[in-house]
Amino acid sequence: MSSKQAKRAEIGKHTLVVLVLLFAFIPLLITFVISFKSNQQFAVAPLTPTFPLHFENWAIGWETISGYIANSIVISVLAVVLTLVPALLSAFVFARFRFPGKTVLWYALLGLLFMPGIMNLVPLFTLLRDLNMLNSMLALSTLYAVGGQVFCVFVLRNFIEDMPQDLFEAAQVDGASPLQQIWSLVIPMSGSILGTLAILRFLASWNSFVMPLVMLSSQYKQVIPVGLMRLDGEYIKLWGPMMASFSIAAIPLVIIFLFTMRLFVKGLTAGAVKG
Amino acid sequence: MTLRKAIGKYMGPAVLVATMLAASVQVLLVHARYEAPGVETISICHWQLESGFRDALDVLIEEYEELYHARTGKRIKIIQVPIGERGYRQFVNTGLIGGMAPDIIEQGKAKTTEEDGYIVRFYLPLGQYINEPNPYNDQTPHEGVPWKDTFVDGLSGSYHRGLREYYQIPFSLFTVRVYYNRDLLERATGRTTPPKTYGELLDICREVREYAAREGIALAPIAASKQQAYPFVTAYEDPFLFPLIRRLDLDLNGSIDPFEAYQGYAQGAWSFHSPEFLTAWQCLQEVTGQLQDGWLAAQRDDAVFMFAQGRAVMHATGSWDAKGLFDQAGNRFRIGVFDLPMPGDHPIYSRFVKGPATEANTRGGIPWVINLRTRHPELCIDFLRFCTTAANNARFNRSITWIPVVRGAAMAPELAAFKPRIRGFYGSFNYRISSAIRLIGAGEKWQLYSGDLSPREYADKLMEVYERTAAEGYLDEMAQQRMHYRDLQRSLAALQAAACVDALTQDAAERKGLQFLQSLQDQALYTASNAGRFPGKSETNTTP
Repeated sequence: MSSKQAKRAEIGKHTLVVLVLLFAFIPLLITFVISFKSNQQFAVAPLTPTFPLHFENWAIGWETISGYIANSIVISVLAVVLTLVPALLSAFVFARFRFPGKTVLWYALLGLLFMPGIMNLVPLFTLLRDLNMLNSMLALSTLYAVGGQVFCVFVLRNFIEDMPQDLFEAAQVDGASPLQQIWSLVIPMSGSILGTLAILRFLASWNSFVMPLVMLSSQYKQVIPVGLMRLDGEYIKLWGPMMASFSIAAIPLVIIFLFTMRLFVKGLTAGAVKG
Repeated sequence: MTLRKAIGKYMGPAVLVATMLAASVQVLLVHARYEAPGVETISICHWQLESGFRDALDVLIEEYEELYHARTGKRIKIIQVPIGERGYRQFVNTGLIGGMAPDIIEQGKAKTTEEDGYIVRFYLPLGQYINEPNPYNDQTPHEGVPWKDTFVDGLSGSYHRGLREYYQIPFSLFTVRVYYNRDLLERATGRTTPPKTYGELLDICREVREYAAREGIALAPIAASKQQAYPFVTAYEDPFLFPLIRRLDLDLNGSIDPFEAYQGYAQGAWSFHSPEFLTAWQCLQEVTGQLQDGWLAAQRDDAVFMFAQGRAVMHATGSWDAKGLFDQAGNRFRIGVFDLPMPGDHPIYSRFVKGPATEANTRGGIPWVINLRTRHPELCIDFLRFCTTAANNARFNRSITWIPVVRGAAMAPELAAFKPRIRGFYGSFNYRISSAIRLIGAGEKWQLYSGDLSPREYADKLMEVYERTAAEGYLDEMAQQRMHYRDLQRSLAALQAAACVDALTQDAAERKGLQFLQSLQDQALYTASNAGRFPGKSETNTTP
């Protein structure tokens, strides 16, 4: 291929990438632009910047959803912890131990992967009601944790199985208990996959809408997706504050990605180039 | 390890831990505030998400909390739970079933707030409260007047015929009018006043279209969506049928129910090819022909946005949109409001249409019901009483530019055009005696309104289904009615028996006797003033 052709191919690739990025970023940009508009400005020019900028929209947005953000963070972080700890233990058991019924249990567990989460809504609601645990943030975190078990165990088991057997045998020779093996071997070596799973579970909990809407009745316990609905007026939408709130709601996720992006990418590509 | 590396390594976890800590502190503080010992808490949920509504309710809530504290020395906290329309149904249904629903609930959107079977199970009957005077009306013209009679509709909308009980307390009243862009109207047509006659309305629409073509701009005479087309249906279909209603009304209640309709049909007194129907649909098509292109696919917001952007001269919607539309217009253009003119000047239509439908039977909107499982029923009642004094109701509605529902409560001046029209005809024509006719009517009507079906073609379709299914529907309806009256008689007999037998105290017997009499009276009033409404249609007209 001549250098001219290579250059053309490069331009083509770059154009494609830019187009894809445009599709991804233009909605974000529009959200940001609208967040500084009054409804009147929005009616006149919905997509282009207009002046004066209405910074008060962000104040309204923050006032409306700051409480929900705190609730979402607490619930999502709790959910991540409650998901990963038992998932790691279960995955270790499936990966390193032999016991009767292991295969049946494993396939039963995998079968749960095919069950849509929404199917459980009514039974879970009834269960929580009977346990007198409705309207509890801890109960909601537990639900998220339960929902995330299967996928996390599935991924972690495969990961642990791929670790060199010699390492575990050496640890056993040194007298390490299973918990010590997890602490000293599994956790240090599976940081990237644990990070990835943590982010995925955090996102799932953060974005969940129906579950908190149904399980939490007190407004001060509600989470961000339900809180954002408060700004979605039935008759006349207040576009500026609504878009400001959407932007604010995205900030925690952006921060998390900024600090954990390396882990996330490493985790996603782990095992991609096995030799 | 250098400082830079250490920052790079620990910065991320540190930020995450700090965020978690800050969030936990915030959550604990909020929990401490809302779950403080010794503070009674009442929650009130609704789907009115406009900031004006929440602010107005907050004002009343704060005043009530202070008043309660001053009166009793105890603290009370009333928490608003605004839920969007999309999630309201699920929230209320699951809340009621799970026993964790708010204490006061805005009625609507969810079956559990509307159907008798659920209402009797989940909500507090208000009969005994509404016949007592509202104590907050002391030293006002309403002093000593039963709470019920302080509402302009006498709480007729709150009465559930099947249950013979009252369940709701409304806050506002709604009517539907046409908003118009005064500046745009003047620019496009040279007119400074809204249309007074049907002919003028069509002339204006024609002039607007000519202006748009001349200037090469996208401008529609009227912006609407499916939902906002209903005002035209109410205005231009029902009045054509009033002469027919008077001829067929066997029980003289002013309306035609499916029974009367079928009896009239069987005697050959009407059919869907009757001139009343055909001309009504023709008129309706003339008006819906003035809506913007593609209105059937438009959402409610699209039409509002179109009007706010000045891409349509007129927009028909309810008084509930007044504040939003006035705010959106701001200083950009002036908004006027007018009532849809009747085709009294039309050579053919005027043979049938003698006047508009009356709005004298408009019922209160924003109805609140009280959760039967609330731990504080008396507090809930007290709060609703506080909110529905003339002064408080006026203040509440003024701040959101809605029409008050309490007698003597002054209305915001800009809503003058929305004052319910008292003069006019009352009646409705409900021919939907079978599911099939209901389905075909609901399905094909949009094709009629959009002009895809001619009135005659639409009539043919209805005739075919009515002919085929009406007799069976008549029998089904009779069976339903028989059961209804059986239940009614049983219930009344039970009340009567209780009044006679309950000899615990004279008061108790007297109270039950009064309840029985009240029930009979309410039933009669309900029948006289409300019977025969088009199911599902009046709701669209009078509530947001």
